[in-house]
Amino acid sequence: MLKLPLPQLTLDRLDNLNRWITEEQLKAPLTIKPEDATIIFTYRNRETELVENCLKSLRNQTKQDINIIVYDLGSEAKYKKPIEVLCKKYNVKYYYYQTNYFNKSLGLCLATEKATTHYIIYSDIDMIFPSNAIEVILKGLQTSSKPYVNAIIRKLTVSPTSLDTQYLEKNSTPPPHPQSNYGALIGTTKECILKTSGMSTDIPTDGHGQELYVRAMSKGFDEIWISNALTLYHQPHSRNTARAYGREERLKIYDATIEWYKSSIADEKKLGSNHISDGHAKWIHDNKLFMPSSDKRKGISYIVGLRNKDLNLVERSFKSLANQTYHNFEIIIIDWGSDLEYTQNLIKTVKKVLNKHNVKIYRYSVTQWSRSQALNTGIFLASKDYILVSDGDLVFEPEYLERLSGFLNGDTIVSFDDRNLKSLDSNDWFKDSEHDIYGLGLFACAKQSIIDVGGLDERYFGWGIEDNDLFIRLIKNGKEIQPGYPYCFNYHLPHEKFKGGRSRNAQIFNSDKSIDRSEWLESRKVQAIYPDYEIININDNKGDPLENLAIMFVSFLRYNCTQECIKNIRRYYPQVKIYVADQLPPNEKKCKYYETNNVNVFFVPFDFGLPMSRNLLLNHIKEKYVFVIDNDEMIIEKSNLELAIQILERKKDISLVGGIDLLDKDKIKARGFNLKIENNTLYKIPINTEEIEILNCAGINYYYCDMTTNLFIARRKIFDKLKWDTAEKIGAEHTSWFLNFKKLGYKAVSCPQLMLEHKHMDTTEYRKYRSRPVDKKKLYKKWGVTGYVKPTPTTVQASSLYEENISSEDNSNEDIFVTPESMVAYLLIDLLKLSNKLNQNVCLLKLTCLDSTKHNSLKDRESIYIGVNNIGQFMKELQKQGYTVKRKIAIKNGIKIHISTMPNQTKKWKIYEQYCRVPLPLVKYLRDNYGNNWKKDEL
Amino acid sequence: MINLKKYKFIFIGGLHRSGTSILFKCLKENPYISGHAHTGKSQDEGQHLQTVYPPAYSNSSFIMPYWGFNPNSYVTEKSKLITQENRIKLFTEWARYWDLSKYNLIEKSPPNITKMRFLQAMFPNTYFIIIKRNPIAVAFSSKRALGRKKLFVIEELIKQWVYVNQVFEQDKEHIKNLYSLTYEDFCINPQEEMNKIYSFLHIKATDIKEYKIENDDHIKYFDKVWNQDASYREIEENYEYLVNKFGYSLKVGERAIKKED
Repeated sequence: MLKLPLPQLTLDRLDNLNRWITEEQLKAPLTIKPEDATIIFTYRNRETELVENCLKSLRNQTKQDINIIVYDLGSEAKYKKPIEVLCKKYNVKYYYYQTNYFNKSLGLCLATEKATTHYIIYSDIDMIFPSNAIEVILKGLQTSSKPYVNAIIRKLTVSPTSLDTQYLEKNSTPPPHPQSNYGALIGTTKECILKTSGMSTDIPTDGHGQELYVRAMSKGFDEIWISNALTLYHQPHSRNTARAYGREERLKIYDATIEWYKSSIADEKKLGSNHISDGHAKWIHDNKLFMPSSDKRKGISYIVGLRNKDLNLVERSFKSLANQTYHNFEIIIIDWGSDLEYTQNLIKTVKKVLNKHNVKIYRYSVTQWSRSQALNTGIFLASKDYILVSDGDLVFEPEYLERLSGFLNGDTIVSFDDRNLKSLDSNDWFKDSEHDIYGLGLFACAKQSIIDVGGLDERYFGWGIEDNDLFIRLIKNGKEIQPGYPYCFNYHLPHEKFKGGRSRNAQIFNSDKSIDRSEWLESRKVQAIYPDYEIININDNKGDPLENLAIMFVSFLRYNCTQECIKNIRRYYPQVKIYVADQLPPNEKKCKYYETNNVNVFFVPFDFGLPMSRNLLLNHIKEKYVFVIDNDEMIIEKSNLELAIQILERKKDISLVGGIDLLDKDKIKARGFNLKIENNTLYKIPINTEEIEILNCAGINYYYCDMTTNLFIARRKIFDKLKWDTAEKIGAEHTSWFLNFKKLGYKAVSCPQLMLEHKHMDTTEYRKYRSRPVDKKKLYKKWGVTGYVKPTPTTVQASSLYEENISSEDNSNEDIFVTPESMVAYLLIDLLKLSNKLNQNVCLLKLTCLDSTKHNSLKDRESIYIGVNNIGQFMKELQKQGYTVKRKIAIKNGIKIHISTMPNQTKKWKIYEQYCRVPLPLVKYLRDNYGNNWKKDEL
Repeated sequence: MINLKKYKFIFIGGLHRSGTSILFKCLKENPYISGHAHTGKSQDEGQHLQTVYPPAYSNSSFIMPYWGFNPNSYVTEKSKLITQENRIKLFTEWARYWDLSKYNLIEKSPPNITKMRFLQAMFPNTYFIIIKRNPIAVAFSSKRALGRKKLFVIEELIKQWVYVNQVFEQDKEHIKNLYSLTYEDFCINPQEEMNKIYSFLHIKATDIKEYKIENDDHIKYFDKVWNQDASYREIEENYEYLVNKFGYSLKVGERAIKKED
């Protein structure tokens, strides 16, 4: 990987250089498309003629279509405007950056961010390119998978009047300082820019090319000189005033880079580490330049091995983990032979600092510290796909894991440089620290990558060298080293030095490197699978069962509601997958909102329908469980999605867990329903939790029902057989789906802990679509029913439900009675008196429209259903009589009472000169039993 | 016993009006390839010659051309339709219109773009050629083919274009042999594009006949309609960001249409 001597570029050396592009390579067919490359220029206050010569020469190439970016670093208006016009003329992307200083490196960095191509070419806008220039540069680039192309320039002695090569050659001379050729033309890949952190902004101009060259070579890029086939011509112009800017500092940095490079060659331990100056590091870090986007779906196992490590340091380290903005990670602490007292204190510390995190401590009774053994064990115990191997004396900036997640993939090892903190109590970590390029001990990669090379070599005891050894094997196994610095800053806390095993380990390293590691590998696996260690689970219930969960909802007309919903989910579950079908047009702002929140969004036609949108989303959901919600359902502190998943994990016969809809002021609406179709009538019977069996699974209460509320977690696989009925747009789709669910023999339960808050955010337009009556008719037709009964469940205190102190307001119905308010009081009074006194299930309904004594058909009834116009009035009526509704007593006596007020469930009839609400099924019941003229009979 | 392994199954897909038919026509000319012909069905599309999976417009609630949004249009290797019985059935139904003495069998149906994973699981040796075209041209020419429709149809057609491309991008990593091209590139140099396709298919290239292959989208759709009617500006504003993601642009003036590869 590290193969070049120092870049002492002299003319003599150029003559003897053996990395010239060969004749054969030049004759080879061109495989790189010009449109896959971008040539970048940056400048300030350049003359129009000079720029036009450059662009003209680039548009007169044997290979056309190369992308060109011109990045103007704050030119004055008189220079800016003509060049903008020129750029349009030559189809060049022009960007302007407002600044008072010329920093060429900064311009190149910023322009590189704008380039979307694989290949990047840096050059100067005062160059003239011969007509074969792009072809030769691309041929140079195609000679290696990690190319770094350089070319030499000749200086024109006159302002050119022609772009003819012979003319240019005749009027130019070789450059007096060949070193400058390191920056005149650089052709490489975007990967190189990412791995080197790009041009150093600490070196504004001269020398920036050399400095990047040094770092690119250290990252294993191949130097290719193309000057035997191509010469660029530099046009004369006035001197740039920026030349003297920061010269002293520049030289210092350059010298330091060279020194670092020298030592890198001799010392393999520097493998993968980075060298950039503090200023540039901070600039790259703060601007997130060249940084891939974070990916919250990547689970990380943070592994740390300890043995009596200073708890003061460990606590600080854990605090920095507790403050991470990224949450999809677990912490595995391998306590490798600490004293018992130490372990007890360690547990206390973890419980205090990491009380909201998923932490496991594995305590091993061993006598000798071995970082290799401890980490191998931790790696095998890790449950996530990616691991971050660390030490107990490191602290991390809050965005550390979030940033890291963007770099993780199966082919890369992310290696981090430390910054050494000078003080334990620093308030400004960056300021109070020095960059240390020493270690390889902290790294992140796919768990499988480590297992594939047999883990760490356990011949190394103590610490030291084991990481170098591992890195070399990983590289040999085809893995790429990606510097995590300066994107992720971690700081090494100051502490007293302690003995490692470096010198002894170095002897092992230098001796026999090829050894079969499978034995250790097996032993670690065995330890992980058959524990002979003590496992201490801290906050085990805070694991990440949500990895297999997708939340899905449909967005229609209420985009503010959708935003609120996403914000709410991300507040509680930053890593959970969200799928949205949006029925409104997309726009850039909206798309970016979805992207920022990591939402998988699909834009579907307007008024596509809830069922169709949900079915479409299901096509894209791969997760094991799906949480179906509406966008006005909000997660609250009490919501516990994990527990609902626990039920599904443990009870394989249950296909769906429904939740509770929390209305305002701690009220809930329903706890599930049972469904039945009888006499052409569909009954939705609210669950009475007093009467049904409350089951328990691992401490979680649940009960069976046929239909839950419209928020539920279901197994993804049931949707393969059961889709929403697309004949309906919205409204009745829920009942229809659950009727099918029941028909297919699936089992549903409700779980009170799966509670979401229902926020009404309807608009007039939304309501117009929401309340279309046509849907219900389709439902009736489909299920062959003419009537539909849904008693209105009375709201109850949600808190009482939590305590499982079921409110007496709950009920179910079997038979249906009707009475006007003024008579209901008597009914209840009679009922209660009778039920207490006689302990039998007979209802005497005096003064009501239904005289049970006359028809003798209402005996042996167990429940009573009352339609009222107004509950408040009804209750007042009762109070006047000195009674209250004591349903518990009624229930104990086998009588159930339910009260309904809904206009769509009742018919208003005039009976005994008073209006009363008659439930629709009762109309049918009465007609079936007493004929169409039953009222006449009655009267 | 039918030995499916001896054949190479080539599928052409893409949204309607994206150039699937002309591509199909050109490929069918090759003496080593057999494609459906004289079937009596619309455009000789394979979807109409079989009974295993529903064709694009089978669902009555989906009026042409919104088939892309039909959840049933999207099938993958997890589909319950993938059985040995269906495999034979599908092959047999298509084989009636193929010349089985040739080993390269081609089937063209626009919805193949959302069925690649399914078809890959159904047949061995599958090769997919997907053609894309700028959304303005796709939307307007689809609308024209349908006769008069409301203005919002254009918006929904662009939305469908985005959705189908989204599905394609998602699925392509699962496909072993996939070649995608754009109608714009194809029009610029049809023979060069065909040569690339033949190279992808490992089939000896042949010259294509003198078809009228030209791209006048920028005049027909951009200049004459899209740029003339201010009511399209809102659609342009709303969809530009998403359309850019797939290398195209709706912006007035950027009628080169294909932005980046």
